Amino acid sequence: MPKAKPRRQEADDDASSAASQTSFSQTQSNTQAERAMAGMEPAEQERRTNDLVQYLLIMDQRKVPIKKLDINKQVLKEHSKAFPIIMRSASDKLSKVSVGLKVIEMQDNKQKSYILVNEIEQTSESQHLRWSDEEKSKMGLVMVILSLVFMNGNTMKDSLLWHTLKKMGVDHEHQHEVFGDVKKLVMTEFVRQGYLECIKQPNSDPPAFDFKWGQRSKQETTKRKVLQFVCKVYEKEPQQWTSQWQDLLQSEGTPNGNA
Amino acid sequence: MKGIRRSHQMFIQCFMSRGFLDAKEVKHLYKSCCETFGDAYLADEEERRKLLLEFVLTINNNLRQFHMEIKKGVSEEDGSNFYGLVNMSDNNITRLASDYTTNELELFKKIVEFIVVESATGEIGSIEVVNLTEKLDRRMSKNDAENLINRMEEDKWIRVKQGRISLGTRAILELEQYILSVYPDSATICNLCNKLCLKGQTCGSCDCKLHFHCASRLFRGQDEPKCPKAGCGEIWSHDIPNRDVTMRSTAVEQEDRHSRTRKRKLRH
Repeated sequence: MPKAKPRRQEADDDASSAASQTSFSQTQSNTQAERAMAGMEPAEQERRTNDLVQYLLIMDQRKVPIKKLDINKQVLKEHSKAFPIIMRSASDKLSKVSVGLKVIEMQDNKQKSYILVNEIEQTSESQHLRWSDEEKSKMGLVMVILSLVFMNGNTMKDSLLWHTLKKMGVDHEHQHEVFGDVKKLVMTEFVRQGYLECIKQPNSDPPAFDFKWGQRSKQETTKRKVLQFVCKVYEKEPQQWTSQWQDLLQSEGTPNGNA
Repeated sequence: MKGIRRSHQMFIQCFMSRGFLDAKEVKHLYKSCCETFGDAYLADEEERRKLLLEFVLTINNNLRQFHMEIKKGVSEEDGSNFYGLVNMSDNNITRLASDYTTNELELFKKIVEFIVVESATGEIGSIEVVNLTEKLDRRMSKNDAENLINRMEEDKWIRVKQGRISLGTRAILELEQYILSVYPDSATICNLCNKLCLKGQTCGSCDCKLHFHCASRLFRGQDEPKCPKAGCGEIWSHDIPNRDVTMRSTAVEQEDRHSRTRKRKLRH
């Protein structure tokens, strides 16, 4: 394999990472991280940061949240105490220096993990990202489920979701020709990828679940876009869905506003 | 170092998503990136080409710190240009990157070895590939091997034609250094372009090898082509191929201009 080329030192990068806007909740105190950083040569700090950028890019291709534990094991190793600072400068580089991806910390897990979200929107004209037919079908299903959940008041019982999907020809009790095991796809894959959140209702037997939008969906789309999608299907104006419209305005921080 | 703009980032993302683009796709993408983010897209083709070059240079200067680079590769079929986002490091991080399993990569390595070391034509038959699976430490069924070949063809790592498998331009772009360093005795360098040469023509009396498109370029218009290697000069015993894409396009232009299309047809 090709050897790694010598790296360039950049004064700019350090400046920009210091001014980073990205904030991460930190398990370790900042002083501890600073002490760990002080124990590293500047070149070593830069090398670990760049390695982390590469690691995040590679691991993101699987769309599964990247665990802090794995980052420490694979990249930072003995310098794992410096995690908060190195992670911050790596996020900054991902967003500003290299590819325009934003690092988002997943909030619903006990274990710290991260996903990358695109800052550049894919429009139907640009089409710069190529999706396989399988990905396109799955994203179509995700969009439908997000719409259903939003229109249902931001949460939806699994029984209702299955019932509605069945009416659209996606039956969770049978193998689907495109999606295979629908239940597994929705409850495991979409949840793991952060598109959906699936919460078990307490004391339910057989277990019942509530679906909500996952972290990734909240970052990658907006209530406005989803409502616009629904309006296209029903040939209505967004304002005609009164409660959803209010919800949307609230989420955009303009309650009672006339957008 | 010049800063990265959104248009650069969109360009990189496209390469990350597709891995591998031909010259036409790159031009198209560049246009799309410029238009989306309001960068100047020059009308003059020559000026625009320079700007695109600078554009890619800026990207590479920024990506190099992450061990990545956009590199140009040349097709062994017709000399046309391709561009790929290439990983420049081999470490425990990049080994996680592959869409293929360890066993599948092992088989691919064996395919590469066969093509470089044993095959004179730069090809391997699909039956021989299936036979190679027997040399793997862990078993792979014939079915799995065939599926793997299909997947690698789809990803443009290999080229399959009439049951003969050769390395695709993408594989040569990424693996040239690897092949040259692992198989220094078997890997041949093209006498004209000095790049790795797997498929091509070999001199009858010495070890000189040329890509088909390089032979087209070198021997163009010569009645008695001779081996270009210093101290050999033997008569080149192969038919001179017409496979150079750049030459062919200019040839067509010229003939259009002189409207001698009929004569060209007769020659074929």
